[in-house]
Amino acid sequence: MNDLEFESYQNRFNLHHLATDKFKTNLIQIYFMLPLKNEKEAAMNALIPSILERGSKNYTNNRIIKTELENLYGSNMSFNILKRGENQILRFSLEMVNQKYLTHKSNLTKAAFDLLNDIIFNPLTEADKFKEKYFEQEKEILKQEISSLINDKYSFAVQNCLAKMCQNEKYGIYKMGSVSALSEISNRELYAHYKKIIKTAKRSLFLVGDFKKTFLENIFENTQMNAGAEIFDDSTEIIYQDKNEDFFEQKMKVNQARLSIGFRTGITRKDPDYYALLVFNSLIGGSTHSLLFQEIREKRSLVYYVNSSIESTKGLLLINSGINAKNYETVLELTKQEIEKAAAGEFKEEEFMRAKKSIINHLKQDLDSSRALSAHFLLSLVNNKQESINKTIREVENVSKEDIVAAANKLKLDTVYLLKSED
Amino acid sequence: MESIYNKNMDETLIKEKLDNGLNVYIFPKKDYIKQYAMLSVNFGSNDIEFIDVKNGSKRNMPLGIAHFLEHQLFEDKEDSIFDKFADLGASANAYTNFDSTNYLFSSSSNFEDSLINLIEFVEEPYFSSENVEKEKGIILQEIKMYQDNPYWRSYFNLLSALYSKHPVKNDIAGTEASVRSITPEDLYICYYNFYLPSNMDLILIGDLEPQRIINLIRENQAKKHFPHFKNPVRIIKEEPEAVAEKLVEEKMNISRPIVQIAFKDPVKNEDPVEIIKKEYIVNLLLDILFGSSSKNYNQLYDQGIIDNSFSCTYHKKPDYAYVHLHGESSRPDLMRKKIKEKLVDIDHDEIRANFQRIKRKYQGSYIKLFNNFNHLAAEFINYRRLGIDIFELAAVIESITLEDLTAYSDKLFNQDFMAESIILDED
Repeated sequence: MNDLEFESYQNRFNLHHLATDKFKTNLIQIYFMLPLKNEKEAAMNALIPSILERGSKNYTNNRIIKTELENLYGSNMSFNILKRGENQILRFSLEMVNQKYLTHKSNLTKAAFDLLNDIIFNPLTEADKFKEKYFEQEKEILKQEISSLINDKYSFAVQNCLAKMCQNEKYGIYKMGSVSALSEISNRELYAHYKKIIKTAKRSLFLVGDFKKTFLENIFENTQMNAGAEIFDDSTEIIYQDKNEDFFEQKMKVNQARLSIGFRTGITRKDPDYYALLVFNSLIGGSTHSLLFQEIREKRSLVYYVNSSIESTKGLLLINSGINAKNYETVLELTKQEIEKAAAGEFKEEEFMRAKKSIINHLKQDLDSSRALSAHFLLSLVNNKQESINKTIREVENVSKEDIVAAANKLKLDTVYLLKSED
Repeated sequence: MESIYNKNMDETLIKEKLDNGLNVYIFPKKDYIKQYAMLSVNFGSNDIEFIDVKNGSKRNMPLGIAHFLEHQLFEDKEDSIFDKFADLGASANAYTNFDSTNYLFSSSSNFEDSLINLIEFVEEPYFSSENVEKEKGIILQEIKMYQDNPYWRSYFNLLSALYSKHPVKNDIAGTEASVRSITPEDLYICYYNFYLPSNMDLILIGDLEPQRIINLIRENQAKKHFPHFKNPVRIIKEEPEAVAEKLVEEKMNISRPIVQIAFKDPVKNEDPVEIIKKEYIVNLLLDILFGSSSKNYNQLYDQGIIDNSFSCTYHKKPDYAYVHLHGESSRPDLMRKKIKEKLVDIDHDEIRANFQRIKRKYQGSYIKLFNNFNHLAAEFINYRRLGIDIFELAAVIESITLEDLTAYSDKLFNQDFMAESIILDED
């Protein structure tokens, strides 16, 4: 029915609509984008959605909210705290089944959207504060959530590596702030902060799916969201410099050691060589075809997983693996070697083609998922470079071997982080 | 070739059984770019003991053999299997669970060549001592990775407390010692017994031409010789009604304790539809009693005893079943106490008042099953092995009555059949 592109409308707020009847569900997302400033503000921003989700003026507690969502055929309402570059993004999502698959007719999109709006814009308050009980409880739960990073050793290693690497930059702030910063927050200042961000934060509304004409025509009337700037990044500082690599080691009782190696690329989505970086990342650690997977896992059985990923708003590349601590130097050396080989153009034509094909395959598959379509569009908005998936695919197709070599040569090793057992 | 069109979902299912017994299922999806194929072998981590069809002898395999076999099939004499897919722009993967091993790829072009690749690599084993030894290093790292995952650990601690004989108590990848003991010969024996076309299902999803694809598969299979067509003979040990242990505790580096509670549900010989229906009935019941809209959940949440990490599910298979409640809590003992109190005192009025709404939620989740190819393939095969096609689920859910729920509400939470697993913080 179309080539799955978002159409943008600037009215009272920024609406981005992708019309398709491919999916069984419809997706609505509301985004607020806030520049990362300090741990306390990050903690405040992260705390707000969980308090809102406890109850609003018309849906006063969690039980009433969940009951309503169940009535709407198990519609799903969730929120996430994202970090893109040096921005914290609050995402409220609502996913409900397309009414046409229901045997009973119901106007569930409108009802679910009303609920979401009430939750975000109509909170339960007591004397210019959030409801005290919700504030206290959710503060405690967020504290637990921040601490629970340690339960997932993969994310724990990634986060610690990035925090060390960017300790003097805003990017080093954890997406949910910190436990100590959280404890400083008072209910009154949090509510004042909420009122401020509702009015002033950059914001957007995404719709993906098969929405009725009447719903779309009345959407501006059906939300309390007001005017604001589009969610694009104008605050991320790109650090790109020569330095001696830093090494950090942390000890803990673990069965498997985790190694995270952080690089600066100096390349973001805005740059023309972004596509070459995408292909390089795929070549070095994208998937089973990658040089690191082949060398470190398939040839030497030193790991179960080794992969690389990029942060395309801040300009970082991270290589992660789970290893035996005694193999730490070997794995680090092999990783450096493979990058040097790529930078010297020492990779085969078929390896280069596999890397490209893999990216294109994944990008094409993103066209079949409402959440992937919206995630892709979000990044293009944040980087102020609206680009359809099909356009990205064409750019990736045009990347040459020389482009990859150039991208590989831009990599600067910054920080090595190792989590290993105490003995 | 049989074609079933489901009007409510606007989905079609094509079915074909080949002469060698291989079942092929296709969901044609117009306008989709993604193509997905999964070859599922009815052989999982639970299939440790069986009678070898070759000589009638009883086999007792090392734990984790199905998962090891999955890894080893990706080894070939010359080329890397992964590379063959990558050259076609397809991405291959595999996973093993308690009852099946699943080989899959997703692509957006070259579907037919990728499909032939998939069938060929699964149907052509090559296990050498050198490759087997090499794979051990990789799998041992995989096991260590899971050992550091507190949820995984507490889950398997729970299963080993529930079951004393049934193999579901064992970790899917096995133990360090069992993995070290695996030989190429073990792998060939398992392969010979379980990797036959009649013990496999092929599920294909995408904008595909069913007739053309079925012809292609038929042609490919006709060229092959299979050593036998005898069904595998599994040995299932008798599992006592009682749990193996009441409580398992472990310490790990975690932010706060994890509590897992289960009630072992005895199994009898049941009709497949009854098994599925019971799974839904009990899950509906659990949602009413402990789901996020329930009185119990919200009371315990308000008291700071549980939070949204809490969830409850009923797992039901033909040979084992249990109710599973779990979550994190900084007051684990209080959480255990409160949950047990709530379980003795089940309010039938609450079941009555919330039944229709929770049923609606399940009708919604049935519709969502068709959104994601990977999920659809996994769920499809799960229900197919139990004996129904996924479209029939709608009617199963529809047929559930309030009486079905109340009939189970007083039977499930028998504390004699309860086991608990707790992970506490290291310090």
